[in-house]
Amino acid sequence: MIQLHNVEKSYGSGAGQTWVLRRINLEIRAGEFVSIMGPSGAGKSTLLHILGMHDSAWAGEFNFLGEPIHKMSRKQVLELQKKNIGFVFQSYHLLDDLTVYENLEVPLSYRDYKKSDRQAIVSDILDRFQIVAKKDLYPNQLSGGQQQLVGVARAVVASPKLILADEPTGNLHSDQGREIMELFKKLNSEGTTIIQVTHSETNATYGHRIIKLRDGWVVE
Amino acid sequence: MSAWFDDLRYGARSLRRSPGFTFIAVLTLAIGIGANVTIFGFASALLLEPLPGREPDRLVRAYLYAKANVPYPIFEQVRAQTRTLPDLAAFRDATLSLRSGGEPEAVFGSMVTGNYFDVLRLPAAHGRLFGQDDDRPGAPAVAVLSDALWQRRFGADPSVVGRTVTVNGHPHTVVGIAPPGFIGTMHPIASHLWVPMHGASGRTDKSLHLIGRLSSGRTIAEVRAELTAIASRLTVPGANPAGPPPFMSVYAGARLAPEPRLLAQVFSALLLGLAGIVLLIACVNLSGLQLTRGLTRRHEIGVRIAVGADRRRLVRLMLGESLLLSAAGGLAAAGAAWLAGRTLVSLPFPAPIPVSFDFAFDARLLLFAAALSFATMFACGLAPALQATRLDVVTHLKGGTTALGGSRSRLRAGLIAAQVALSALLIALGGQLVRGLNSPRFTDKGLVTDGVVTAELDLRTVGASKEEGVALQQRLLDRLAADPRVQAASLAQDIPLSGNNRNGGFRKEGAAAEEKPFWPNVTRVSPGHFATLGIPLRAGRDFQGGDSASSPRVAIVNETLARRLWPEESPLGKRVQAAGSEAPGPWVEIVGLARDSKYVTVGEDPRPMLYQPAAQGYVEKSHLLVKTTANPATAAALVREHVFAVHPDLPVTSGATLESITNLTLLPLRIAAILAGALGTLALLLVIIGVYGLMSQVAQQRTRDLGIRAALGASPAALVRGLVGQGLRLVGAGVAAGLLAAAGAGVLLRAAVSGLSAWDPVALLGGATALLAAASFACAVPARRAVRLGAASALRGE
Repeated sequence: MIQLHNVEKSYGSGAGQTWVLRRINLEIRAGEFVSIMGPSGAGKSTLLHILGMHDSAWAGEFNFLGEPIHKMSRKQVLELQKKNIGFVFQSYHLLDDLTVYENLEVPLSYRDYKKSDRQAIVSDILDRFQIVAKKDLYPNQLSGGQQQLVGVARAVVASPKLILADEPTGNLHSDQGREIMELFKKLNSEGTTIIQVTHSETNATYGHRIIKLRDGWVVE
Repeated sequence: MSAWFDDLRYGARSLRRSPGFTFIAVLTLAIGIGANVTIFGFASALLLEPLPGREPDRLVRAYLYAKANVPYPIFEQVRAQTRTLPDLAAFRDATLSLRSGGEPEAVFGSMVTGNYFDVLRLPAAHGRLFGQDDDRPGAPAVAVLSDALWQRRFGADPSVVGRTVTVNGHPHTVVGIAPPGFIGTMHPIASHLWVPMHGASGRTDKSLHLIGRLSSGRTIAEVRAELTAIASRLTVPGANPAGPPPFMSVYAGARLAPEPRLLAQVFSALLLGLAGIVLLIACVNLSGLQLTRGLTRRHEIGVRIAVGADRRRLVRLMLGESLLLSAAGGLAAAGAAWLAGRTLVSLPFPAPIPVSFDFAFDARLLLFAAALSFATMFACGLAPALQATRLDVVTHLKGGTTALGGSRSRLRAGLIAAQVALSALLIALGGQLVRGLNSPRFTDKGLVTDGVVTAELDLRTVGASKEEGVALQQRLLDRLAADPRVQAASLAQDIPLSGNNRNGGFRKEGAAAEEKPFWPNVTRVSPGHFATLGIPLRAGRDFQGGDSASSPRVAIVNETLARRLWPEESPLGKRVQAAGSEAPGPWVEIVGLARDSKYVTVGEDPRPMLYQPAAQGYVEKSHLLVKTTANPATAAALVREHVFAVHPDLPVTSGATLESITNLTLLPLRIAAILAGALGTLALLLVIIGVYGLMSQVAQQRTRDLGIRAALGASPAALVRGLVGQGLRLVGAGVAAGLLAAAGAGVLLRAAVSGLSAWDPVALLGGATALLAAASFACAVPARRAVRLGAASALRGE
C-alpha cells in the first residue's frame, strides 16, 4: 500500500538546516496495523502527516496504492487522500459547532455524497459505534472517550482504506483508551490498514509491528 | 443543493454562537448600506418615479419658451396643430395669495389650462377638478386645493367645496380637492393650489410647461419630430420676424424637467458618492472583522481540511456566512432607511420654499438594498475567506497559534488605517462645509434680507408705453412710500443673490484711448434701493426723484469698483462713459459710494458694481423690493393690493421673500453640508467599532505579555497607555492620510464653490481631534480589560 524511499524533511534555520526526517525507507502492506514510536521530537507526527498527505514539503519518493505521490499535483494528491485516508487525532478535533450527527456527515458532504446516501451511511455508523443516542449532542456535551469514539467514527465514515491515528488515546484514561484500541483492532480485522503514532507500549501491542524513530532516523 | 443549504445552516449556527461579532457586523452593514439606501430612496423618488396620474408612461412633457413673451398664444397654435398629442395641457408655477378669512397666505400653486387634470386622468377626492369651460374668457373664477392644504388650512372640512376664497385678490370658488398625495407636476416643488390660467391672468409669460397624453400607437420620437416641425412654423404675434423662433424641448414623462433633472442627478450622484465612502469604510471594517474571525477559526478550518474539505468548499462555507450577514445587514439597512426616510420627509425643509421630497420605499429600493448587500458579501467576504483557507494544516492541527501575525496583521492594520483615513476625509470635508457656510463670508451678505418681500412686475404684459411704464412705476413707489406698513420700497432690475449676472462696459474719464474698457456688474435701481436692502452709503448720496431721463446721468459705485478705478481717491464727482459694443454713451457722474455687498452668489468675492437709476434707463421687467414688518404672506398681499390699485390687470408673480431667494442659492450646499456631517458621524461610529474590534484582538494576543510585565512591576496605567499608544499610532497614520486627502479635496471644493476655504485648519484639526478622541476611547476599553486580568490570571491562562 505504502512505499517510502529516501524520504527526507528539513527546515532552513539560519545558515544551516534542521533535519526532521532522514532517509526514511518504509513499506506498509494493505491490512497491516503499524505503530510508530519514538521520543518527542523524533519525527513521528511529521511522518504521519506526510503519510496522510497533509504535508507536501519533503523530498524522496512516496508511492501510495501504486500512485507516485511525489510526482502528482496537489489537487490529485488531495483527491487520493479524500478517497482513501481517514484521520484520528489526539485532541479529537471535532467541530464544536456541529452535532455528533453533523460531524459524521461532514466528511461525506466533502466527498459529494447525496443527502440520502449520507443519511444512510451516518445512521449505519451511529448504529455500529452505538452512539445513536448521542447524535444530537454537541462535542462539549460528551466525555473525552465519547468524543474520541465519534472521532474514530468520523475517520471511518467514508470507508477509507487507511486510518492514520496520532496519539489516539493520549487524552483518555486507560479504560477509554482500551476501548478505542479494541475498536481499531476490530476495524483492522475488517480490512482497514491502520497506522498509529503512540508513546504507549501497551497500545503498540495491538499492532502487527512497530517502527521506531529517533532524531528523524528509522532505528528499528 | 443540500450541501449549499447545509453550509448556510452551519453558517447561521456559527454566527449565532458569536453574537458579539454578528451584532457588530450587522450594525456595520446596516450603517453602510443604510446610508446608501436612504439616499437612493430620495433619488429614486425624485428621478425614477413617473408622473402622477393614470398610465404615466403615455404622458409626455415639453417646455415652451419664446423671447417674445407670448407663449400662451403659441401654445394654442401647438395644440391646434398636434396630432400625436390630442390631449395637451399647459401649466406654470406661481406663488399665489390665498385668503379665506383672516390673514392671507402665500401658497405655491400652478396656473393650469382647463384640461390639465383630464390629461393626467386624475379623479377629484371631493367635488370636481377643472374642465375646459373653467378656462374660457368670462368663466367664473374657480380653484382646486391640494389634499394637504385642505387638511391643514380647512381642517379637511368637505363643505369647503363651493365656498369662496380670495386668490391674488380675486374671489374664486373652490370646486374640488385634488386626490391625496398629488402635489402637481413641478417636482420637487409642491403645488397646493390650482387656478385656471385665464382666471389668474397668467396667459402671458416667457415660458410654459406642457404636458400631453400620447395618442394610441404614437411614440415619443414621433411627438418630438412633430413638435419640432410645428415649432419651426409657429408665428409669434407682434414679434420681429428676424428674432429667434420659439424654443420647444420635448422629453418623456419624467417628473423633472431636464435642467432640474440634471441638477438632481448631479446632486444625487454626489450624495451617493459620499454615502459610498461610508459603505467603503463599512466594508473595510467588516473585512477586518472577518479577517480576525478567520484567524480564530484556523483550527476549525484545519480540521475541515483534514476530513476532506477542499478550498472551494471552505470558501463557499465562509461566503455563506457572509451572505447571511449581508442579508441581515441589508434587512437592517432597509429598516433603518425606512425609518430615516420617514423621519427626514416629516422634517421641515431647511429653506422657506415649498419643496416636498418623497421617499420611495418600494421594490426598487429593496432591490437596490439587496444588490448592495450581495456586492458587500463579495467585497467583504471573499478576501478574508481566501486568506483564512490558505493555511498550513499541520501547524493548526498541532495547536498552532491564532495570533494576528505577519502579513495578516499588517493587512488588518492597513485596513483600519484606511478606514480612519476615509473617515477623516468625510469628517473634515463636512466640517469645512459647515464652518464655511457659517463663516462671515457666507453669513454676511452685505445687505439685510429680513422683512423684504419681492415681486416681479412685467409692464409688457399690460402693453404699457415707456412713459406710461415710468409713470406707473412711480405711482406704485409713491403709494408704497405712503403706506405706514412699508418701511422702504424700491424697484430693481435684478433681485440680488438670485443668480442673475449682468455686466456693462465703461471707460473712465481721462483713460488713454488704447486702454480697454472695464466691465463691472451693472444694475438699475430706483431711489430707496440701498435703504430697502440696508446697504450703507459710505459717501455721497442716494438716487433722487430728480435723477430722471432728462437730467445728467449719475451712478453709484461700490467700494471694490471705486478702489479699482480710483485707488486712494474719492470716486465722487468722477465720470465714466458707457463703452461696450455700442457707441460711447453720455458721461455718467459718480454721486455715491455704496458698501460692498453680495450680488450674484452668497460666497462670491466682492465684485465691482455700478448702480444706475432706473429712471434713466427704462426697465420694462423689474422687481419690486418691499421692506415691511408684516409676515411674508401679508406682505405679499400688501404688494398685490398696491399693484392692483395702480393697474388692476398687471399680474404680480413671485411674492417670495428675499431671504428665501438668497437661501435657495445656498440650499444645495447646505444640504451637502448636513449630509456630509451626518455621514461623517456615521463614519466616526464605524471607526469606533473597527478600532475597538482590532484592539480587542491585539489586547487578547498580548495578555501573556501584559501578565509578565505586570508581574515585573509595570503599573496598570502604564500598560493601558502602552496599548492605547499602539492603537493610536495606527489611527494617527490614518488621520494624517485622511487630512492630506481632505486638504486635496478642499482645493477641489474651493474650485467648485466660490468663497469656501480650501484649507480650514480648525475643521481639519477639529476632525482629527474628534477621531483621535473616539479612537482613544475605542482603544482604552479593551486595553483596560486586558490589563485588569492581572499578572496571575494572564499567566494562568497560558
